[in-house]
Amino acid sequence: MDLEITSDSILRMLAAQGVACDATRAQGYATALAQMLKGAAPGTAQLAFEEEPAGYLAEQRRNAP
Amino acid sequence: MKPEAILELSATELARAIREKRVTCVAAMEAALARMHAVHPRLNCLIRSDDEQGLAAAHLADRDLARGALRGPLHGVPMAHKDMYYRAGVVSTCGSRILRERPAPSTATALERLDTAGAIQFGVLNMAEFAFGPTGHNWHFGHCRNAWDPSRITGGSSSGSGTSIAARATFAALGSDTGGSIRLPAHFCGISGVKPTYGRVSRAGAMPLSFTLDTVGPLARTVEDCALLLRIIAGADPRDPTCDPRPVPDYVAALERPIAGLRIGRPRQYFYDDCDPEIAAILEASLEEFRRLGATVVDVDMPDIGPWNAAATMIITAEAAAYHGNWLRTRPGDYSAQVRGRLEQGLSVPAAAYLDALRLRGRVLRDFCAQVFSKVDLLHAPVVSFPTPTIAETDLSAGPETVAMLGKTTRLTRPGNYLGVPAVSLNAGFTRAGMPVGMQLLARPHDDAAALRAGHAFQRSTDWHRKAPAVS
Repeated sequence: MDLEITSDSILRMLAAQGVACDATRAQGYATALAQMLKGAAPGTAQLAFEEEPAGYLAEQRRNAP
Repeated sequence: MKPEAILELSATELARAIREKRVTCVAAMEAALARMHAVHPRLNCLIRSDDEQGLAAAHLADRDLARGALRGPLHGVPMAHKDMYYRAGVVSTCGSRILRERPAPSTATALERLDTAGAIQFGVLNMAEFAFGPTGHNWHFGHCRNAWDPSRITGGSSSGSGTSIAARATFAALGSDTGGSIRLPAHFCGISGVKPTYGRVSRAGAMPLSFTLDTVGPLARTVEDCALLLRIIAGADPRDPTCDPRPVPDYVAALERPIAGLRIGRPRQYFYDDCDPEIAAILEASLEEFRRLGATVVDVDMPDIGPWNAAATMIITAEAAAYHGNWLRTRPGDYSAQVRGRLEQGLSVPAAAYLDALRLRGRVLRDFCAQVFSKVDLLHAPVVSFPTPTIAETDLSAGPETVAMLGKTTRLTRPGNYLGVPAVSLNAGFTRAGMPVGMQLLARPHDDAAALRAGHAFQRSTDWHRKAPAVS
């Protein structure tokens, strides 16, 4: 996956949430966000349609000794 | 008993000595306070000490004991804790400028339970700002310094807990672990710590960072102490809906079971990638000790852990940004550049990606248990793969180098948080440069007892945990 997230889109997103940010920081966030999304992608690509966030607690109980 | 001899006792040993009236609570408190004030100028481990209150409480505890009233298993044991455990009406800075003057709204359940067990709190300890940093740097209260070499990092975020326990300035301390914040200071400072199963210990009254991943746990000199403290603080709490209702096992009694026959896994992938050879050798020697104790060491294949770290990072940054949103808007200048940068980053995480990271967690735990814990009882791994850096080397503000350094530091601990499994960290030996090296023992969810039992067996047959840094 080749992700390109621009610093401009990050700046606008933060501004919409009321947070001021400069272009240099926004560029760093854009790069880090792209890395995070790219890094998690192989995992999330395997998710079943029905998988729920609360499924974790059920697995925790099921795998306890 | 002389103060130096008192300070060499573990919390368990001190509690016994107090019960048997070989040491008074006041003598223990005076020794701890004197040591804390002696080492603080060099280690910057303390945020506030409450000497008068601590001594007054110790006098009361001695009077209670004299009339036969034993409060609990920690009667009279002095402790200081990471400054993020609230006492109603008292300031908990959480290592921040923002909370420097705000009285806490409630008292932490973990503190209430330690109070009931008889422990006496005499101060609060330095920590990473809002527990959001793995090195021990704090740009508001000053960086915490390692008792083994003050030019080097303590690890974080429970930095003051780690270095003050190593320096024998407190007998135990509460820490918290969201991405490694108990295990990292335990590794860097040569002490013991337990990150419990997610949901095992109430988070009520503890500063939140990431509700999905936050865990509350103890750091101490020995695994036995950690078992004792965990037994006291664990268990259901109506104030924390994520707290698991199942009964708390007697972790201390479970320590006595032999580990012969225990299957300990050595990961074939991931945990030893680019590992410093000296650290790998120390870890291998610790496995040899486990073999000698009758455990079986089994090489195990790991699933692909890389995506989990990315998912965990998304969860932490997004949840932390939600907690801090109002202050990011109104008081951005009151954060250090590093913490502000990481929080602002969280505001950019897409909601669907965050939810996918949560959805993935159950599947990851299921697959990990099927692949790893079907073959072994514990997974044995390094905590950190590189030699302890100096404070100056890791004193980065914000930017790409910071992201890389933070990711490298938590690379081996974050998977345990994403899985939500228990992990005990303890000293496995020392480098030629004299710096401690820790191991972590990960177990199935809610099998905290197995990891504690193995760690205790290791400490019964070795003396790494007895070694203390020079304090002068």
